[in-house]
Amino acid sequence: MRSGFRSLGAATILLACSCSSGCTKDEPPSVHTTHQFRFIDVSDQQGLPPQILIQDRVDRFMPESMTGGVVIFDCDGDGDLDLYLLCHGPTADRNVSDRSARNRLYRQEQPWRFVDITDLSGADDSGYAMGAAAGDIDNDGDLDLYISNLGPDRLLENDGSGVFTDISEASGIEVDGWSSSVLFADVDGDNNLDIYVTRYLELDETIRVTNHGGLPEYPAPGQFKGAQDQLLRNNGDGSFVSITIEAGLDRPSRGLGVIAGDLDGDGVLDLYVANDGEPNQAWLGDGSAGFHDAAMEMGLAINIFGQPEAGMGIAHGDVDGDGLLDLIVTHLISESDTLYQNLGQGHFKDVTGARGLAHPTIDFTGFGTLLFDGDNDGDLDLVTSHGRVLRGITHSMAAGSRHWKPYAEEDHLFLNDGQGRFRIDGKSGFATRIGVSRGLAGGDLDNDGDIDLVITEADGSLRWWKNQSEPSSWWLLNVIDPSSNRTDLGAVVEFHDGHKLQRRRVGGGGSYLSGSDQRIHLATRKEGERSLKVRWSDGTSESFQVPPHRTISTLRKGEGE
Amino acid sequence: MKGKNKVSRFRQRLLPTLLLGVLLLGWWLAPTGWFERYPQDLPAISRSGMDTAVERRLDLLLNSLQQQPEAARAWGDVAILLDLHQQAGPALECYRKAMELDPAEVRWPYLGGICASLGDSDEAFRLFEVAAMLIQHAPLSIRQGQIYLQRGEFDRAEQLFRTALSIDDQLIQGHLGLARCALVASDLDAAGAHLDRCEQLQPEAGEVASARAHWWRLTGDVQQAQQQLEAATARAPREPLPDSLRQQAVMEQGVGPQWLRERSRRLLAAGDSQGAIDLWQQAVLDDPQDAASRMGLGRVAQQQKKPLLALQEFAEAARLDPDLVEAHIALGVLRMRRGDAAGAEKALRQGLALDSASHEILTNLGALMMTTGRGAEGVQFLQRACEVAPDDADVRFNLAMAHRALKEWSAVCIELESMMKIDANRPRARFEYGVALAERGRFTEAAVQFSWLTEQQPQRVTGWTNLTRALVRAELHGEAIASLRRAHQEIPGNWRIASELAWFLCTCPDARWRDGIEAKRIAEVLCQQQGSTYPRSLDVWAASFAECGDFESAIAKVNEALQYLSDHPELPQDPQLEIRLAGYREQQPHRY
Repeated sequence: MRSGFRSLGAATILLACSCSSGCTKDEPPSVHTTHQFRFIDVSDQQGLPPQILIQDRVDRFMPESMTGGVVIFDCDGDGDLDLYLLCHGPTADRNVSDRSARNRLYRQEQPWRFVDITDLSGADDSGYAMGAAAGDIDNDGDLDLYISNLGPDRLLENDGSGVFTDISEASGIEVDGWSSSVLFADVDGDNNLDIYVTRYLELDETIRVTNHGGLPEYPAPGQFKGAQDQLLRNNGDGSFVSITIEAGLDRPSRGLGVIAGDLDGDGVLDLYVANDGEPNQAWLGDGSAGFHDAAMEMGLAINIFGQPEAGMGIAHGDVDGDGLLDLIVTHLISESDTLYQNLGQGHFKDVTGARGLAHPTIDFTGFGTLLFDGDNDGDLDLVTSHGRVLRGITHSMAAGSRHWKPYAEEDHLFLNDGQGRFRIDGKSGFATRIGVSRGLAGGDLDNDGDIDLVITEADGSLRWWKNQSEPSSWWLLNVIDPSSNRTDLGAVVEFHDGHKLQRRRVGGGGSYLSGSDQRIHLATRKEGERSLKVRWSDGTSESFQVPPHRTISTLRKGEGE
Repeated sequence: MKGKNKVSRFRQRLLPTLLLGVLLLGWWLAPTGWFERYPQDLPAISRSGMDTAVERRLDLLLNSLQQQPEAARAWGDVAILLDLHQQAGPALECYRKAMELDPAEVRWPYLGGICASLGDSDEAFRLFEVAAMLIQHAPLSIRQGQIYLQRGEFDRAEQLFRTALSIDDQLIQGHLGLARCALVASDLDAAGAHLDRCEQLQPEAGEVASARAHWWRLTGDVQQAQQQLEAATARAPREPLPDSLRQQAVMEQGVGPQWLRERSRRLLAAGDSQGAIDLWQQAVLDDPQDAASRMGLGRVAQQQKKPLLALQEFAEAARLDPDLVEAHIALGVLRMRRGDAAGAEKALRQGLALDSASHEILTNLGALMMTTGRGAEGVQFLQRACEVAPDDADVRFNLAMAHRALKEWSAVCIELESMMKIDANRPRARFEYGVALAERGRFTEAAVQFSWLTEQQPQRVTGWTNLTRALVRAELHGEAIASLRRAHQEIPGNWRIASELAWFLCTCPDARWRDGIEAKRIAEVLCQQQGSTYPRSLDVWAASFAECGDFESAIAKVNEALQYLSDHPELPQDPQLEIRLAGYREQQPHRY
């Protein structure tokens, strides 16, 4: 009896100590930033679509290890974000796909309440889907979808209410083979959005490989020839034509990620393509759909050691507040992710190690990635989704089926110290699941002023991460050019909070096979004299009154000062 | 009642006694393998999808471990097997246990470090540090250096690369590591010097070329940088790190056909052919039903000139796995070589029934038909081989040679022209093309082919002699003489060239190029070297005498040649000698 009382006493004391440290379930401990924020995995919550798992194949079909796109966009113009999920069946044969293998469109009815409207929407493409992007191809104010497949790609036109029609044939889309990330951008300045389709490799399905243990394994990309990316010019009449070769984009490579932005500061749109196991390409534009690759010259082709890496996804944004567009490319295990700092005038430098990203990323295979202000402190944080392509040490907490467990890795959130140095976040609650993550997209799904995240996994499941940031001053901005009746992709928003400049580019693609919310998210925790300016994609600029904070506003070209 | 109680008491005592007995028996039997009683520290091992041969080896090693749970080697062996067969997690735990039991053995931390390096670089780093305290091993320093490099600790990385090179200065990874450290520090002179060394060691290394591209960029020469980068992209991206310690472990514990093949290759490379045969024979004994092992044994036996054993094993492999195309091919090819045309055809046709698009089978069937006098059928098979492998230069060359055997010179030209569109730089094809062109009377074009050949292979005699003949037939006498003179310089001691030159100098139809004196000098030297007995050389000497007007000597030399041939009836006789003799008797020099 006596000893029993003593034990109970000890337990009580321990419990009391635990409470006094503040580490309770409801109140997360403070992180190294000056305020608190947390991510909550709400994937299993009511109101979210049920997980549709893809049936594992016995063999290792390479495309299944590379799929997983997701697009966050407002499909019906009701002001809240919806979600398009790319799915696939066991083969690239459309005819054998069952209903669960078709792409899904989830409409958000109320915050965090999504309804599967696939059947009603006509967006149920049955191809072996890789990725997608949303863009307004006909300047009617709604977002259409381009779907990249293993097999023929598809273009779906939105009628504005979230009902889509497959116009691939009518519009002359003839991209076949293995497409990966997709991007909408006006490359020739005609006010119509063109499409850049990154293509991966020329798959030979007869190639089968085994690992040292004699088990079937996914083949390495080096066993296949790279495929030619495609640039599809929008003719403005609903039709598209491939201008790849005329545009000078004549170098087949194993492309996976793509972004558009002004890489050399000349005011003209450029493209950057991440290639798998080959030098990356920086296609500098001439403003009229002519490009040349200057990656080597600019320091963007290979890393600081002179090595080409296995490029997957790309994040872009100004990480160090100097107003210039920096780039981060995710890579294979044993290769760190690479941060290319923009030095200005078309010169970049690999500063991965100096910015704290070398050591924490070397043991992971990165795919999706996004620079976003995760903790609403005004600088860009980094999120990366991970999952191997070759079996390795199975994590004790690995989730998913037996097939995928040896490929599972944890995802990472890195917090920016404001100077462009990153430190891995271990306290926000993000990435508690160890899975095989691929696609990644961000957007303020509940319009509460912080960016939520959605991550796809190779087994078809979807992780929803709700951001609960401490209240701050925030703005969500639609940046519209009335002449095209759509978001001005390529415009740059400059916000000064009285202390620091935040420069955010509208659109531009990025991540891996995925598309994020096109609205601009700004946040600050500081008080001061604030200013807001938009540099439109045509080179003109306007200043705007800073809208009231914690609001969603629209900045229209011509309505500023 | 009393008796009943006794029985009851007996039963009450018997039951616990029996239970205790069973427990003791179990405890006693456990180490003998009757029960699996593995050490408690043994991690969970997934056998899902594991190859049966690996599983058998694993059972063997676990049994050993059971017998000696405190033996580091027993843990280490299990670790290596698991490591090599994609069970990195439990392998790492076994390496750690082996380290704990034998802290002085370097293999456990070192191999554990390599195992951890793909996915847990911190653990790899820690284990390599332990290993480095036990051994000086260049690949270990390289691996450590690479981790430091990736982490941005360049001074430490540089130090380790230097350590590696102090042990083995041929390690390209050491020089490349130093070059990368220098590139990071923008020390272009040092980086350039290290890259020079890399390029000396391995001129075709892709990773060196890409580092060089980066170097060119830093020097400001973007064009060179771009060129180097393109060269790098076309090459293998990584150079393998030669590592004896790791290789030894791999060779000891790797199970499965790929390891057997590798071990066998090494044994053969070391000259131990019997060892290789023993290795495969053991694999066959382990699993007599395994067709792959039978094939392995057959191939080694074939290499070691033991065709009967090879035939037996290929046939057995084909019997055990009738769908194994390679077995039918190997059997067919070997039977063909041994003159068993019927058996070869049967095996190859069985293979073809399984894989009608195998150009290897079609080609061998084509060759078989050609050698058995069924030329038309042979050509058909080879044509089918070309259809299934239109871009394979070898296949098309074989078809050309089949046409050549049938003296279908036009078809030879067509096939070789197609083949040379795929691979224009193959000397044998150029030679055969030249012959076919000459046979068709296209001497100038033939001369172009032979001229290319002599540039590529100046030591090849038939190239020069064919070139001369093509030039002569094209009536380009000056060019013919010039080419022979060049050949004589390139291959000064060659009697055929010397003989051809002397012959042409004294028999050239164009008087401007004839030089009987030089011809006589060359022929004399030639005959002296050959003891004045070789009929062809005597014939040349005779022609040179005739060209100089000394018909008496010419007749004497021809007679010597005729006498020699008469004394050696086994030699091919030359009726032209009598004709020339008649000419010399009439004071007529010979003309080419």
